[in-house]
Amino acid sequence: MKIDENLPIIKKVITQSQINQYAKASGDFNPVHINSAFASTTDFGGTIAHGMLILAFLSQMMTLAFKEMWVNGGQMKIRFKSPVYPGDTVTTFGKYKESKPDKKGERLFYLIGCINQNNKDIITGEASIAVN
Amino acid sequence: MDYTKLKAGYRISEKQIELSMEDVLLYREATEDNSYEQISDYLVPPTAIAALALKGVIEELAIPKGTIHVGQELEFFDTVLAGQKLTFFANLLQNAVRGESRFLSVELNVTNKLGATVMKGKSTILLPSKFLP
Repeated sequence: MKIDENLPIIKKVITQSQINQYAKASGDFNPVHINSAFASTTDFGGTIAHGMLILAFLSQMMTLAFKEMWVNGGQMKIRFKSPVYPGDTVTTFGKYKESKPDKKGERLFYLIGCINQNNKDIITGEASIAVN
Repeated sequence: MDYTKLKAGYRISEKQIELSMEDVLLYREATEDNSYEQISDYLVPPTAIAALALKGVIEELAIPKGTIHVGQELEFFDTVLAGQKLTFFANLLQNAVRGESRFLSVELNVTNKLGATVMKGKSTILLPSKFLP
């Protein structure tokens, strides 16, 4: 991959079943994710996906693009901007930003994030990998 | 839990966990993740390690209903395969009230059996407003 190329896109439709599965896999049973009666009393008005579930899609994108360079030397810093509801479509993006010297060589920085079906930001941030 | 009394530096949790292949498969299924095929069938997705680290925080701090995860930083230092024993550390970095909200920032550190760091991170969570002083 050339460094100025966009990263592979991952697109997922989120379901309540997937959110429930993620609660089981992660041990995060916060009722805002899995209990519609409770979630309807919150500002969200209904259940929302775990932020870490959506973040996992960004890590998948980075693994697909950079393989071991991601799991061994990758960094990310993100903000969760908007909730994801069951039925929403999440699409990842990643675009080369710049390179900077690193103690082991060079580090490539990418603007990364996810948007929903209305092009609203769900996650925004930056990721980087070390290249020797 | 009286969140107003938590001070920066407080050791929230320290736990040893051996990630089984079953745990890894459950996580991959939930996240629809096949990116491991690029590396190893036994690869533990790096965000699975982060999720487990966060689980320790949720349990030990008895994080209340309605808490929201607002920010996350992660650094990955080594490949982790299923079956490896890891130690998860979590320390409170900051406990601050801003406006109508209480923010907790937690430092995560995960080491392998040799004591080498495999993952570091920082999670920022927002507690429901009723947990203000």
